Amino acid sequence: MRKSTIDLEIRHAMWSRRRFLKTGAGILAGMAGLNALPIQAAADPHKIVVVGGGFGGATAAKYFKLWARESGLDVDVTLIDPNANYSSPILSGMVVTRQLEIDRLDFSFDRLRDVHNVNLLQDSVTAIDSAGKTVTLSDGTTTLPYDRLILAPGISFIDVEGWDKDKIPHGWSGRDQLQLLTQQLADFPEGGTFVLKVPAAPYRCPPGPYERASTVADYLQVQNKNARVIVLDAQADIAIESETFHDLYDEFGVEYYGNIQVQRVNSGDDEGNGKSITYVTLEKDIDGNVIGQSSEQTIEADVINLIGDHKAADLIFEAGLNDGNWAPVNPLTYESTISGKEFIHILGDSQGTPIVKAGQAANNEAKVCVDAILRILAGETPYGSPIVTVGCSAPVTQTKVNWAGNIWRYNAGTLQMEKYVGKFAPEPSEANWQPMLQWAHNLFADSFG
Amino acid sequence: MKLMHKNNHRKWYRPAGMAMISLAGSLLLTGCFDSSSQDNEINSGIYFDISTVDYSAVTVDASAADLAPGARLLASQCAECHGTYGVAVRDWPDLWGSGRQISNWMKLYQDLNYEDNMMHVHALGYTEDEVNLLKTYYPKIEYSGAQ
Repeated sequence: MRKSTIDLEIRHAMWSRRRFLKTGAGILAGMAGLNALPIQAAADPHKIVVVGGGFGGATAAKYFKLWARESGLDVDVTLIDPNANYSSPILSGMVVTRQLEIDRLDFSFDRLRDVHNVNLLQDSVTAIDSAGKTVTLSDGTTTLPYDRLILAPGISFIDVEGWDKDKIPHGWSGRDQLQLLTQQLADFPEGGTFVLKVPAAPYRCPPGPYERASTVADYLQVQNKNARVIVLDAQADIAIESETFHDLYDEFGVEYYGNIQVQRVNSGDDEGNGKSITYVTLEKDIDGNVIGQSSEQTIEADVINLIGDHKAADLIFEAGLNDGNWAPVNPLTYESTISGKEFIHILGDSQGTPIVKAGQAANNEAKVCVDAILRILAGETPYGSPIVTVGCSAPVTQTKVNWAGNIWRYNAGTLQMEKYVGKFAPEPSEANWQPMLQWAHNLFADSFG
Repeated sequence: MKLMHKNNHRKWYRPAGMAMISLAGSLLLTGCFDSSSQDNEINSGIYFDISTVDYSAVTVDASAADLAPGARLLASQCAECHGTYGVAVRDWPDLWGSGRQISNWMKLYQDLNYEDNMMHVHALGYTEDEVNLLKTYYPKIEYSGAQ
């Protein structure tokens, strides 16, 4: 059926009516009949506010504009991000090992504005009024109304006693952190010690923490630093491709310890001296329950890459959108399932489905979300059996690249996304290097271009 | 239109450079480093130009709006690696305009001979009905821009 203008107006009116009926005044208006509906609403564009310009947020903003036009819908999309550019964690491992300029992973939002007509606002959201359907900006007073709010704010880290991120970088989110870790490794002293702390799952990747450890170990070896490289893992053993990474760690002389719980760190002085990390080794039973722990041990190190355990971004907690550390959502729409938080959708790393916390997954989730919202606005129902497909690549040494392909499928019985297919490259290979760059380039262009 | 894209491409690097200068300034406070020297020692030759697709040259046939639910969405998931609307960047396979070939490719990649290829995973992951939806969508896309 072609979507004529008249059809569209009816759809808009139906949508407005459903919204309107949710309010007390709406119920009265509904009783009074259709004539009492605010007719002018049909002409107003649907206001979409997107918070966070990473892979999820940028993709959502772009595809709202592309697909609304195809559907004959009018949407006004505003992307809010505190930065002018997004610094991609994907391929950031090549920055750390000085194989890629950090600028090459900066993606501006200009194309979203100039080509796709997305409104850009370089600002932060500090509060969400889910009843009034507004967000408050960083000045504390300016508010922005929304019909649908898309939150793609990424991750934050569970704090560790003594952790000053300006001295002990996670290097896991944001350009400044990536640059700090890169520089500390560039300045790495002969015979020095590097400690990398692997976070408890679920964590953001690619690159994953195990790849970071092997690439840095390779890099320090190539630089003839005669370094001691230590991996402290929250998991009992390497969580993915255990054999591959154990082989690499053996090759590079990496010391690996599992079941580690960090107690505190000493972030050192302004000259970078005096850093240390203090931890215990947990004893666990066969079900993974903690039944004991070792005495504390401390390692003094020249560079500590503390990739803290992850949780949803602060905004999710402040807005009451979390259940535990993540935001529960309906995987058909990515709308929050918390009562009173209707019309708020959470994409990417902060949402709580079992889907991997990858930029490509966020891109994918954004499309599921946008397609669903546009269908709802057109008076239809969301697509009922979405899948999320991810094929991530990352270097594991300075010359070899690995990939992992995974597909999640919606289970209508459990109402959850479930892993359907998962596979790794048979072995890390130089042959995967160019395909990795091609994959990343297309993903960057699809998300930001 | 293409000229504008080129301008955008140049503009793209300017804010990054500015950010670098300000970052170097702020890091001096912590006694760390002069960040601008860092990248000068690297010459990767690797660029990710995201401005190559000319969206004014993309045509989506009006009948695409009538396709079964899921067609547009499933097709867009291929775009993560094959470009928005299947218009790929960096000499990678395009999907726009493809119909029957898509199911041929998806069947081919299911073969174990392709297990070292990422497409093997995706070929196993899509049901036949889903592949058929992809086949309905991509013939609706035309691209007349330079590549």
